[in-house]
Amino acid sequence: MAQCKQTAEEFVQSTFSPHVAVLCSPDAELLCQKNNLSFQQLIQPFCRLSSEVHIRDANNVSHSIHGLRIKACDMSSQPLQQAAIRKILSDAVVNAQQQQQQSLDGGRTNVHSFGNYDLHLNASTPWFEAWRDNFLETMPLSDHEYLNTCLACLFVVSSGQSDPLSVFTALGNQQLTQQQQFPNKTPRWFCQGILHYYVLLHDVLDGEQARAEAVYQSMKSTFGGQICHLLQINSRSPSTMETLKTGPSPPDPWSQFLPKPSSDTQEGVDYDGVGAQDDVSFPGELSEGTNEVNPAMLTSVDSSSELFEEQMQSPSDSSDSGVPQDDLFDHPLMPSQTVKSTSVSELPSLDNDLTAAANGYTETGGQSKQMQVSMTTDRKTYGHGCCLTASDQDRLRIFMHEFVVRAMIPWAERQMKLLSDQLTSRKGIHRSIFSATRKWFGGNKPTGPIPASQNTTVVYTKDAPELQLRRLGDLAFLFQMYEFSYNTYHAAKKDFNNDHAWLHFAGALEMASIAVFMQGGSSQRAYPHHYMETAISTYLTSCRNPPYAMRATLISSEILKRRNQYSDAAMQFLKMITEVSQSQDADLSSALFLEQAAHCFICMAPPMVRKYSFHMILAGHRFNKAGQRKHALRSYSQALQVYKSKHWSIAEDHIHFTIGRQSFNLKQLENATSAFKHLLTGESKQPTAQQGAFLREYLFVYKQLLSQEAGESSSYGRLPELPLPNIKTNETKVLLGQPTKLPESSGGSKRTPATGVTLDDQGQEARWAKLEATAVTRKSNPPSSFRPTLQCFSNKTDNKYNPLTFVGEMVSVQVVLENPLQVMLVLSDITLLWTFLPSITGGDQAQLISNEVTSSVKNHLADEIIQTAVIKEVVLTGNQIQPIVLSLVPRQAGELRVVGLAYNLGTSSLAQNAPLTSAAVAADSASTSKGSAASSKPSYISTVCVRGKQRLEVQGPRLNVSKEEKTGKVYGPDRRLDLAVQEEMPILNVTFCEFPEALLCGEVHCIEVEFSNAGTVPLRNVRVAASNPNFFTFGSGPDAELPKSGRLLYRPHRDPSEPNPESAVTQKGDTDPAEQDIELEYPYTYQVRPGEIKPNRVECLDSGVSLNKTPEVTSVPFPGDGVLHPGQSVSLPVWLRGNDIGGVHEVDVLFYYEPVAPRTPVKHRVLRHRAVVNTVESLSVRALATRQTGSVLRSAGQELNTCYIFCELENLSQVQVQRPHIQELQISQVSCASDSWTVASLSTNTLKGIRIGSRETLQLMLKGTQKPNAKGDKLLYSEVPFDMEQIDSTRTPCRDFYQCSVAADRSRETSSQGLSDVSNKAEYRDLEAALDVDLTLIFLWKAFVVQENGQMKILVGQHHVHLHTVNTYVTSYPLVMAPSHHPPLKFYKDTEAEMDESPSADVTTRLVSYSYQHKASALHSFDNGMCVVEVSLSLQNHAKRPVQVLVDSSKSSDRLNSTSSQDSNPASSASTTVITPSPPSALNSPFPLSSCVRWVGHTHAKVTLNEGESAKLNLRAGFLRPGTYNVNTLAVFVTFTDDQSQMILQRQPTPSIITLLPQVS
Amino acid sequence: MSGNFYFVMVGHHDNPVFEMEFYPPNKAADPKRDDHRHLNQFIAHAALDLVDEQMWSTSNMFLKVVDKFNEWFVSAFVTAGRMRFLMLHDIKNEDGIKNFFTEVYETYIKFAMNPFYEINTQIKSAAFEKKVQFFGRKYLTG
Repeated sequence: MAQCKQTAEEFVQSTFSPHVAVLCSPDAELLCQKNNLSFQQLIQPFCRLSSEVHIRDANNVSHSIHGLRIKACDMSSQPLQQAAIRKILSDAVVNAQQQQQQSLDGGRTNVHSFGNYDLHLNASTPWFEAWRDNFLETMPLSDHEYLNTCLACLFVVSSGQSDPLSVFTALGNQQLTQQQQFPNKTPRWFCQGILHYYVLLHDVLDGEQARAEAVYQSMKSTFGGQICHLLQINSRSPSTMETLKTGPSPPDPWSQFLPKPSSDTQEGVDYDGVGAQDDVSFPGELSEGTNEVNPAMLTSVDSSSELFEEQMQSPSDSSDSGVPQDDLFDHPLMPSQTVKSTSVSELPSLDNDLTAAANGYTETGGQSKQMQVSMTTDRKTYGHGCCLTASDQDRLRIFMHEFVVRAMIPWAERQMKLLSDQLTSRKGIHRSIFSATRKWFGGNKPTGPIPASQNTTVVYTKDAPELQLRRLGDLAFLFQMYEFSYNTYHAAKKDFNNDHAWLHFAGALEMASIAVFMQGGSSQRAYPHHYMETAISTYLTSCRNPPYAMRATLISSEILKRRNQYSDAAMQFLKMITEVSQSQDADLSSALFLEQAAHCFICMAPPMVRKYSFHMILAGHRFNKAGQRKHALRSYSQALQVYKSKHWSIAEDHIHFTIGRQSFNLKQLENATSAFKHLLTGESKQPTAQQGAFLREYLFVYKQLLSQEAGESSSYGRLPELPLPNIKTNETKVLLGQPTKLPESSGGSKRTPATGVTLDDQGQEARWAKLEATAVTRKSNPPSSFRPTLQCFSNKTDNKYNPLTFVGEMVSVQVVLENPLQVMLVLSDITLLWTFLPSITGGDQAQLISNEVTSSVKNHLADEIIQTAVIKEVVLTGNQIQPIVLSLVPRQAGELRVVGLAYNLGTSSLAQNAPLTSAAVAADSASTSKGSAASSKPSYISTVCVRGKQRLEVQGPRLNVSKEEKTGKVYGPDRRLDLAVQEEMPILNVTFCEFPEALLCGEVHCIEVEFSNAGTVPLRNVRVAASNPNFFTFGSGPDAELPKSGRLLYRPHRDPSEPNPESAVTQKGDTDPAEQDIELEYPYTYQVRPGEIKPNRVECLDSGVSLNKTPEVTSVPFPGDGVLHPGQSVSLPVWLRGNDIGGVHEVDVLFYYEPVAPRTPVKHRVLRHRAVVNTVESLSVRALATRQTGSVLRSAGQELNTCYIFCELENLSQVQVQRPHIQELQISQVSCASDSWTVASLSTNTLKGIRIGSRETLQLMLKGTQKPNAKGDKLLYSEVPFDMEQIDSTRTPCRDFYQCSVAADRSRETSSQGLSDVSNKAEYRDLEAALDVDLTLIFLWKAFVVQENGQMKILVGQHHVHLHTVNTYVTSYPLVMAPSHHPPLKFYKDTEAEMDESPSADVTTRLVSYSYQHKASALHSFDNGMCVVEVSLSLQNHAKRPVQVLVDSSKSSDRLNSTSSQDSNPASSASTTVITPSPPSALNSPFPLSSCVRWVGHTHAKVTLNEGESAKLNLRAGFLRPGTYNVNTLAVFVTFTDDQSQMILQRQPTPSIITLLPQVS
Repeated sequence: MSGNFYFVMVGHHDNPVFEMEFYPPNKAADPKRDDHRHLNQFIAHAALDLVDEQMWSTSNMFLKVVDKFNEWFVSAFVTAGRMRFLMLHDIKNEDGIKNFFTEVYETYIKFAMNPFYEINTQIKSAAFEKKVQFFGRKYLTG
């Protein structure tokens, strides 16, 4: 909202004020020079009359004049040349801004709101006003108007002159000659009889008062009293002024009228030609606004597109643009000097026929001017008017008043009367003649203005009546008789139009409209805007007089602004720009006009903010072309406020770029850098090449800034922040500890170190945490307060606590870098920045240490505390996201905080177009750690780069608990970068030798594991927890025979089965011929019993020792005291067993260890390993245990304690060509481990091995026997060997894996059973014992494996089968439960199903077994009637509780059919056979006769059987005919409670057959 | 028909929501094109003042040519939701531009129905882009 200092009226008045010429004699000038002023300057402050004066017009009507201003001009001043004018104008513009910046800091103090925009606007535009004033002052004069001509001439002569009167005369003559002979020389004169005014200048101190008075009196008599004045000045000497200096200096009334000393204009560097280079693609001209369509526009597209030529040049050019390279203006002082020299040389020749005095004057005038120039430098020391006292100033004021009131106004009155008299006398004749001729010749020409392009040929004589009219108007206007002047102008306008005197016409129009405006509210007429429009267009088109058009525009726009017609004002400015753009120095005026137009836009209602910004951009562009860099910068900055963060990205880029360039040129490097910074965003829509240019420019400027800053302050330490690349701070990961080395193969044996933790391990922390908790607490369910050790911190981990690290251990930080640009970025010398607060035990205040300081000494010190790794170079191609890993090694305990990343940011000149494959990039990043390959590949470091930093600040997870947290955005703390460094700890390294990649299912493999302590502190209590504890064992128990520590366990061993391959041949027929000629070796995995082979060996062993509570955790049996000292390493054997299920298995192994004497709150450490093993299917075992029933041979007591075990062994492997496969499996031994059972083979007793080929199945029958007294924590091992040697299954590893397997089996069982069952089960535990067999079969086997190279290898393994209940199939591999289908989702609550308190039918129907003993066959003569056979029924109670048995022969039924299905599928027996005594009669009515067995005798028998008791009942069965009968038709009911009504029918599927033959006799 | 077109949809905060330029097929590879892309934005942005002024003076959504800068005309269309569509063009093609605006408006409405699109944010949709491209070829450069 730029406001001018002057109102429009003031502006018009000051523009058009009466001019007075000053002609000074040299001595008078000298007197004035005492005050450092010329006479013209001396009177200038007093030229404005403060009081109201009155004037009478031609009709003798009095008008009052307010604030009349007289403009005095020195007659001796020379007209300026074009270049000088230009210079003055641009200087004015520059200085105005400088002043403003000094006073108001750019004038940006006021904030205005426009709709959504809050803008800082310039309150005023003093540069524009300064330019305007200077422009109007330096405008060329024209003949068509008399506004700026001199009305009077002041002749000034000093009283010290010997003969002042003659000098006055000479001066008068000089004026006269000048007026007559050189009418085109400035100043010009209003008319012939101008006012002469004689001033006698009297120096009060030097001159004689009396003489001056005398001369004054003679002057009065000579020239007349009205036009003479005695002016007394210099009432004090400069020296007294010096003494008075102590007080506050009085206001200097001259300063505002004098040009600024040129020494201020040091901004001469601004005028280099660079600004004029059209480096921004803006049209040089513009036309806009209305909807009317210029037809020329549509056709001339290509011509106008040239306006968009050439834009942002390659920024590389700008490097040399700081050098001023202008040939127009070399130096600010130059033009004025050239002008002066020409004036000095030309004047004598021109003025050679002047009078001698005048001639001398000119010479001296020139000299004095020179003197004046030389004195300008002293002005600052003096100040102005130092010899003038207040009374002197009063005298000056009085003088001016006298001059105006007593001389000037009377003269003007006279002149006006004269002019109007002349006009009225001539008017009649002239008019009539003229109009007659016009009518005669002109025909019917339109009376309106004729826009003709041809220039007028009308030339008026000096005293032509039309000009007299104009003169009169001008005079009236100057003396503020606006109404009168309007009428005059209006009349003149018509005449000029008729004469086609376009220039005069335009001038009259212009003045007419101004006159109307100046009348203000008193006028009846509306402001004739169209007059002004016509005037401007006439000036431009018909007269080709842009300066006058410009003046008219300036005044008109000011008037329009005054009348709130901002839109019209803006249009007028814009129109002017379009018109004048062809002229030479159009840039500056265009820029100023554009800016004014912009201000007009914002003043409109509603404010047009966006138009404003656009025109400010255009103005900035033109300012730039005009070399006004500061103004350009200011304009662009103004416009940026509107465009900022509106996502007009390309426009915004353009603004930022220009601001950057301008700031750089103005040496405002900081602003330049921040502007360029804005260009480097990911949203940039610039093409790649442009982005690259921006980046280079940014780096270049930034580098300059840094070097400049470095030069300014030597203590500069902080690194600057860089905008690129983007760091995804929240994806930062922190890894504690050494990153794992790659598996090394040394000396033929492959060594695999423990995998440890890598940065990529994510999402499995819970698993590891559980393992760790188990390892620490040795409980399956760790307390909830347990906090697991975290080694890798990321945004997914809980970072509430500071990560703990230890002295001497590496901390790796992974930072994810993203290149948002499409150009390549080269980062080099990347390090982490940290601060470190050492923990000092003493009372000293710990000092914060940082490695951000650039000084080398400090850095060296910092590096000793925290060893910081440096990455040489990382190349980020366009839009690439790349993680980099940086490391630190703390050497002291304390608090370490990673604060940021320091690096050199550079780009490559090799351009982004170079096809850089990702592989090459990867190689780059890889080689950074080694640095060896760097020499072979091209390095990008050499290009320009800047060192800076970026902060690493991580944000915690968003909290969402309380209401405030839910509604607001609250983030939790994240301390992953705040590390607590503690004292040293031991470091356990674990290395596996020859870790197998693949195993057979169930294969047992022995490898060596090396434990070593890489730390400086001893460690102990190494424990291992694994996710799958079956996988490995370290062995246990008293294994003195086994070679354990530090020795390899491989030993070439002749396979004992191999000496007799003939058997294999005989068995299989076609054996692989390769089998014979290869020497087989197999690991001596198992321990073989010495001595001869005992087929049914039973060994009793203490079992309670090894079955600890948590099978997942095992202690590592270190030799000695179990302490591993620093540097020490221990090798231990470990046995691995392949998983029972084929496929790839991951086993998580966690090594737990403790420092011996912990110095830190941390009591333990862990090491992780993840083993990946592929298992191949080998053997599958299916086993079923059954009770023997129905046997007539056994005694009753034996029956209770035996069972038969059917085993089905299947070789699941397939023979594959050219790939490793199992050729054959050999069962070497079956062992049984149980607390009461032993097994013996029933089917075969061969010692040559049982071989199973691929996809073959082998049935094996074993008999189990229960030792009734073997109870407690003893474990019975029974072995059935099928091989030449007997393996000791009570020892490692056989026994260990058995135990693992048992533990796994138990955990499976408990997990499969719901907890709700447990209470139920406990009650009926004794009943369930009826079905229990509790034994585990261990199948030990060998596999003959053909390897890829055709060689044969023997592997050994073992499978376990856990038998718990009879009549249930169990397999060696855990059955994977198919996910039971979920019940449909219900939205109502189910009525709680009544808990079935009774034990399952499975159990209750098998509590008592019974068998029949009778003759197998009998001969009977049926003729004699029924055959009666004695049958004795044996009843055996299996339950561990007394039961009552009811044998009911009457209720018997044919159960053979009904139970046959139950036998094979016990699961389906869910259809309960709990039968109460009443219903069967109804069920069994249709008896099939054939199966009819009639029981004879009493039909019911009730027996009570105690635990384990058996009973025998003697019954008799009757048969009516011969045949084969199933005797098993009795119903046996059992009650295990007191409630007799609940009888449960026992299930006895086995038929008992009797054959009755008829006796033929 | 040949002429250059620059289409921009402006949101409520004077922010461009969607931009696209259309060139006659033979001028597609003009290297100078990039050079005055910012000028397009400047002109379009400046025309918003006139759009805001003129949209109240008519009940039509299509405002015809609202502004003009050198050889560029600015046509405008204001949707019911006060989204402003601007088109910079250097040849007269009132009907084509009107049709284009109407079609794009239709497409935009459908796009804005997407519950995951937040109004006044940049439209980043390949499908939308394709459609606008198609309409541009159909009505403007085609």
